[in-house]
Amino acid sequence: MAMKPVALQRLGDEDLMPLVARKDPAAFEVFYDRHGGAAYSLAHRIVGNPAMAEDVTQEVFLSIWRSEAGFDRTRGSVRSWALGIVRNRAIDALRRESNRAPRLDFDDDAVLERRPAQQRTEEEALRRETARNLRGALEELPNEQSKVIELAYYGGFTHSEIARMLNMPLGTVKGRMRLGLEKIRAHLAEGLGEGLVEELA
Amino acid sequence: MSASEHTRWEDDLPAYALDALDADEARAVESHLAGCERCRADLRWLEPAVDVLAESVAQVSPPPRLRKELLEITNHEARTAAGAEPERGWRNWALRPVTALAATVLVAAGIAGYALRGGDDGAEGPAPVAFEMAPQAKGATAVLDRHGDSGTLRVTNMPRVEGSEIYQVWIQHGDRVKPSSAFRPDVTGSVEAEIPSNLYGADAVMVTLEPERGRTKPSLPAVFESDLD
Repeated sequence: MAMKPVALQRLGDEDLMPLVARKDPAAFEVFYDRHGGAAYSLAHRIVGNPAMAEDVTQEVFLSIWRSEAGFDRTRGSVRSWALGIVRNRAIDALRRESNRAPRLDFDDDAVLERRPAQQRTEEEALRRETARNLRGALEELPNEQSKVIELAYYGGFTHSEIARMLNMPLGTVKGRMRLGLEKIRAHLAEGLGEGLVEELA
Repeated sequence: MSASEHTRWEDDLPAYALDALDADEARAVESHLAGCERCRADLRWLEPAVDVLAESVAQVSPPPRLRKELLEITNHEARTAAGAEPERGWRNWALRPVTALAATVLVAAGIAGYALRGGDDGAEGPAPVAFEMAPQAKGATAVLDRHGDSGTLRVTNMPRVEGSEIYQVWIQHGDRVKPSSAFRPDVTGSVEAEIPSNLYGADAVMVTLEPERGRTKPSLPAVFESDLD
């Protein structure tokens, strides 16, 4: 028998996923409501275009619904897994565009300010606050480190491509990636509290 | 393994975590990880930092229609999987006119044909959807084979494109039109273009000739109006 929506809301993601895999649309609805906003936001950040972000998000959630992308609980949280799929599909969409260019000038705060206040829900306000805190970890990085990391993660470039693009040795790119990620990691452990680290891990 | 060999793998782990390795390099790292607990631990330590990149972007709410469309599709597929009859009203859902788009359509096809066949005569599986051609494309043929949410568009005798011109496929849902794949026919005017998704619930599939790739809205003047009734 299908579970009632209230009972589904109480389930953790890992217990929700087997129901989604068994084609329970109510479980899928709860799953989308939990992660749809973060997924769309990430796709929007990568492709820089609301219509394409919508397509990517729809494609990802349908692939999860149709079990084309199976969740493997040994590879981190459901949310990390889902956002990883979003990132990859968004990069694929970006690559399909012929005039692809890295988006290093993206101003996350400006995107928020452009939106009417009434479109921001309470739930979104919480996500925004968390995102802003996390962004602090990125903003503390020296530009040379954040640039290589952003080119890789949001731009989908390989370390060899980044080395050519920035005209620097491959070893330097690798070194900056490590330094940058280690600083973010240290910031997580120190500044944001272990709760968030556990949530992300 | 020597210390210097190990350093090599450690140097690649951040790029691996960021998905910034070539496919061959990534496979080599994965083989190494399978047998190296020290590197696995290093990767586990780095991964939350990569998660920060996903979670730290500006949070914007997706349009409500995305949720609505997803739930319509999943509910429909769940009912189908359970062997239930498609709900009534499905036909009307797929039969909205495309008059709002008339100004931009070069070639248009009523995707409703699929819904009608499935809903009215009980035929199994998708049937090809034929396109109506605009005068500019006289002599050309276009057929869409649907495979669930995706499809293959087969065209022949399409007029040639010049320079950066490209044929763009659009999918209409209600009053909203989204770009799908784009194609340039071969020298004989033929091509098979894959439409990867978004055909569920679509009202029409259209093709326009665009001056270049990457347009988000159809941009050409009036040439054709489709009639889906």
